[in-house]
Amino acid sequence: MLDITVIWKTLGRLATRVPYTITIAFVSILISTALAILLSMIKIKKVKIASALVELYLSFFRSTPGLIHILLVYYGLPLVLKPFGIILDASGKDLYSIAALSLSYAANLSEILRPAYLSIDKGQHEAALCAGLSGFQKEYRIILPQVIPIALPAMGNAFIELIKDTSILFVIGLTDIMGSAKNIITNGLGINKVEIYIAAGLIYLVITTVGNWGNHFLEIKCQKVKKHQ
Amino acid sequence: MKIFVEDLLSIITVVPRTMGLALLVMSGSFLAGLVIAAAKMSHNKVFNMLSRFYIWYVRGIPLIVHLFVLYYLFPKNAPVSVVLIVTYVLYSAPGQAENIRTAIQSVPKGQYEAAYCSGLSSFQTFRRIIFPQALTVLLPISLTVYLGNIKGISVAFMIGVVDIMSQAKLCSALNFGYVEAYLAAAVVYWVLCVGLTRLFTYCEAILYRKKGIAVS
Repeated sequence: MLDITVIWKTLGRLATRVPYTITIAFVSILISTALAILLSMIKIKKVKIASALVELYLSFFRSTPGLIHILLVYYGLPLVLKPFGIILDASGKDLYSIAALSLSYAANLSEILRPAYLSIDKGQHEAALCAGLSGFQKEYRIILPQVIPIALPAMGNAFIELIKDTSILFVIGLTDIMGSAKNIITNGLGINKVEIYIAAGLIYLVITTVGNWGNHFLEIKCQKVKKHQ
Repeated sequence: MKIFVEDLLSIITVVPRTMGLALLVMSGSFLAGLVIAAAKMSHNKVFNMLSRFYIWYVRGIPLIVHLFVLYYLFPKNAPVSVVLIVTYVLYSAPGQAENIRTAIQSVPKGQYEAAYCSGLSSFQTFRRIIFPQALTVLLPISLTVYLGNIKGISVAFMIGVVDIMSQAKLCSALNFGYVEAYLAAAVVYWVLCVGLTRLFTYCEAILYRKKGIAVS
């Protein structure tokens, strides 16, 4: 039988790791959004060699599982950076996690951002240019305000997925929610495994439920903005 | 380089197994998805609420947590691949239900009306009119789902199921070439996904040429 008191106690201990997990997810989504904007721009503007590289990048990261990205970054990044004189040790696990998640989600997000950008009517671009706006002004003042309400709900969903994906980071030893659940199990010599995992599951359930509410709210707001335009 | 090739050859041997597992998972989740889609689309309030609760619960928790919980809840002598298949089917069923719903709803309403008017029963309508049309929407989505399953199974190495990922892990443990092993696995996944996508596009073209079926 399940031991409810163990679940309750573990919930309290795991809850202390929530801010850490959310921070990692948040930093990752920020970096990956920046990367995704870069990738989408290169692909939309059809920059010659760069766009072929972007195509390769997207194809690679979209057809390999997230676990591979994490392990490749964890074992591969120090080797890649060594010739440049940067020596990484195995202690900065949060950095590896953020790097892996960012690279992996940049590919996903660019598949959200690019269609959103392309869905803006061509006339908007032309009108902005005819009105005498420069290229940057056009993107910043006319196109971007229209892209954001289209892309934001999907980005919110991706963020929730990313928080769920942080649960595999324990393979490199990150002590996020899942990682500390594993630690608790190891310290307790493997008793009450099911209860501890259920507690971890409940924590994730709370996070994703709150996230979904937030996203729903965001979606309604975006709908209103779109109507307004 | 030598280690990389060795790992690659060793990983390729488990590709059919991985594809088979993913296929089993997909068929299972298709059936489970049908049930959930039916519950979601039915006018019965209880079924509706049950399906919503199920989706909320399953989608709110990462796959790994489900996997570990079920792994320890299953009887000790149950084969690990069964645990994996059951978990993954239950986990991906809501997504499949959503796909099925989209596919069925993409068939215009006039098709139902015309079928009823021609005297077909509601089962005949579904079987002969709606299903074939929904299939043309469902087929390309299924490819994405299948590729997703192949990738998703990679978490299974944590409970000891043999697939591409766990084979790479095994190789890396044998020869300490971590980067080589995971790179080899990445290449295998990459080739598999790109290859299957190409194959699908090819079949689609043939289907279109021979039967005039446009898979959207």
